[in-house]
Amino acid sequence: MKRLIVVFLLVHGIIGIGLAQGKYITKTGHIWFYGATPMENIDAHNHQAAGIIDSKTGDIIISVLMKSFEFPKALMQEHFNENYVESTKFPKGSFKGTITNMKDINLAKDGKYKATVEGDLTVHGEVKKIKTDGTIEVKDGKLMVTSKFNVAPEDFKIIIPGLVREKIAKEMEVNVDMTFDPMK
Amino acid sequence: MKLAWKIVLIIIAAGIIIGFSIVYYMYHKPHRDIAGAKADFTMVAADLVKQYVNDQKSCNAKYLDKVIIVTGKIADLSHNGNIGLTIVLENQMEGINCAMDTKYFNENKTMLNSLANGSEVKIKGICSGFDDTFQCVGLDKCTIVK
Repeated sequence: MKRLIVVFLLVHGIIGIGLAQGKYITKTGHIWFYGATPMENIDAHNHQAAGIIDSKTGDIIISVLMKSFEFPKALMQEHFNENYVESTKFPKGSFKGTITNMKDINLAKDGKYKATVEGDLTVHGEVKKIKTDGTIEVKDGKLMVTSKFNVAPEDFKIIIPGLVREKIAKEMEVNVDMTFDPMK
Repeated sequence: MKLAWKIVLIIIAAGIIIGFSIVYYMYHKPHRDIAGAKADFTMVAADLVKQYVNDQKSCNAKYLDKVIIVTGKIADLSHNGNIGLTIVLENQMEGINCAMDTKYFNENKTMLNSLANGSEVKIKGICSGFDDTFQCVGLDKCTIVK
């Protein structure tokens, strides 16, 4: 019995290490979006984006709580949450995809690398395939990931009434700036 | 007759001014004051996390958009440039993600910068939900409660 426990612990330990190795995680990434309107620009920030990267496969998962986006105007934030993304019904937005050129990124060497990523973006309960470029900077064992891409609210069945629709840019610019730490 | 017209005009003008004032106020209405609001719930951080892990749906019904005070250990501090601070309570795998209020952060930089991993803090914020992929509860517009 004792031996069994030892074997179990050993195996568990090895698997445990195997699972954590090569993975990078963050809970405090910065994601913001930007849209120009004739009256003023809309920019909403979220500093609690969570993400994980598996450096072996290039798999990447990022998620944000929609209510955590901070707008300059309280009214904008209210409209965003209540009328557009319906954040009480759909509290989470997520991206699940792959860094397709992971093999080109040398994790052992500090430097800036170009990365391409593709996968499913889920907002407002709707899934859309996206493909975008970004950079991954390797520094002191950390991965600093930045990317920028455009999305149209209509792709996620977000209905903006006609009068307001004309005033908001057809596409929103989404920015990602996240520093991933190696998982222990 | 002339007087009647004058009165009508004054009423219309007053209506327009009031209307614009309301629109202006609505447009510029301030953000909810979380720091000054009364807390709906006061609890231990680990307890809130546990409740959310067990039953996300009923917790959302109970806590979403509510003001909560939690007490817990700091697991991680992340300075977002010099513009903000996010504190993770309990641990990285299962915890609470507290985004400090921007104005509060700017006014209390010295105190906030002295916080360290492992120390216990009492944080007040508004609940933004639960991330079931990363097992973390979101608290926004956070301030430290003394």
